[in-house]
Amino acid sequence: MVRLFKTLLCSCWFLLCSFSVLYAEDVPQFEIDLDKSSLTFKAVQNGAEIEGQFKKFTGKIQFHPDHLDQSSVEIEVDMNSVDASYKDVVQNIKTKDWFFTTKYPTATMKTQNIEKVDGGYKANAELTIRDQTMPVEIMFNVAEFSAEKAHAKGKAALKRKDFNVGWEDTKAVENDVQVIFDVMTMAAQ
Amino acid sequence: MLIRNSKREYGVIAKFFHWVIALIIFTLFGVGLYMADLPVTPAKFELYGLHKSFGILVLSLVVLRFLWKMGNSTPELPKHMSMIEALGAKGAHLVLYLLMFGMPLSGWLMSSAAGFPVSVFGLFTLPDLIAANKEYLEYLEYFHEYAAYFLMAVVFVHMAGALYHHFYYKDTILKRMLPW
Repeated sequence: MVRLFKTLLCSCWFLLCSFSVLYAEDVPQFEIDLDKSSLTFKAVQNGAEIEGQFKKFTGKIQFHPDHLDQSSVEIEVDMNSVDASYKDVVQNIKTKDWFFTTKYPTATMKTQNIEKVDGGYKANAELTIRDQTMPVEIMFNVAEFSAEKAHAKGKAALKRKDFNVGWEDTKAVENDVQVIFDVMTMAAQ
Repeated sequence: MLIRNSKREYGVIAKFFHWVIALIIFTLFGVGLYMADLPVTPAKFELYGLHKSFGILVLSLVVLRFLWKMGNSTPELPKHMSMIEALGAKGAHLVLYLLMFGMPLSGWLMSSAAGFPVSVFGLFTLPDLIAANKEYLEYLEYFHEYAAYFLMAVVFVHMAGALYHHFYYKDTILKRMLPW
């Protein structure tokens, strides 16, 4: 009888433990649905805005609005997937002066922390482009959130020269670059 | 010195439009040929920016020129010209006008298709005429290039015609457009 009681107690404890583990895993993991996502950058040349996109990027995303301390985002961008409507730009942005994709084929972004701010969230992240790692602030909002999918939109302002990207001259292409993303994610497999 | 055109002569406004636009067009043609094959450097971006700005300047001048032409009499062609010659001269002028509109407009369309909007001397940016589109861009590039060669060919005929009048017919066709 005592033995049975002990077993029961143990089972209860075990169940309780499993629940708490489950609870900790309540922060869902997501992966990027590339077909429904976009990663765009905007720069200014000769006073007029131009833009390009990265067609391939992957991400490890853990996010829950109520568990921001356990939330994190890691994105890896395939720099060779850069695209723009002007082929000269596509060819040249891959060269040594710009992204130097043969040497630096990927760029990465890792969030350090995510906090709630007015109108959405702010992530302090480390961004690595070429061989330069710099802190960046990313502002985003979450348009849709469930355990199965999440939809986030946001942007970050960078200075291209911080990452040794592009010409020293900032008259032809200005230093300020906007990165804009619209990411649809689904539950990680 | 006439401000407006008369039946015999061109006024200073018409002469101003003619020579300023001619000068810019020749420069744009030269710069256009040169810049297209340059490696991508800040200099190339700057030349493209200037080419676009001056192209839009031509477009604006041509609009004003056309309005001025409409509100003015055009000096008559000399009586000794045959029907064919007169038609040729009128036809060349028509083509020149079409291309003076067509070249900057196709350039503006090209810039829109390329996703490189036109900033006019850094003062303001023109709205895009079409959305960025790689396929249209290719057609527009061909058009802009070959229309430029065609324009230069017609300009050459126009100049040859003026010299032919001056030296063969010894009439006032060339003189009445000279700025002095």
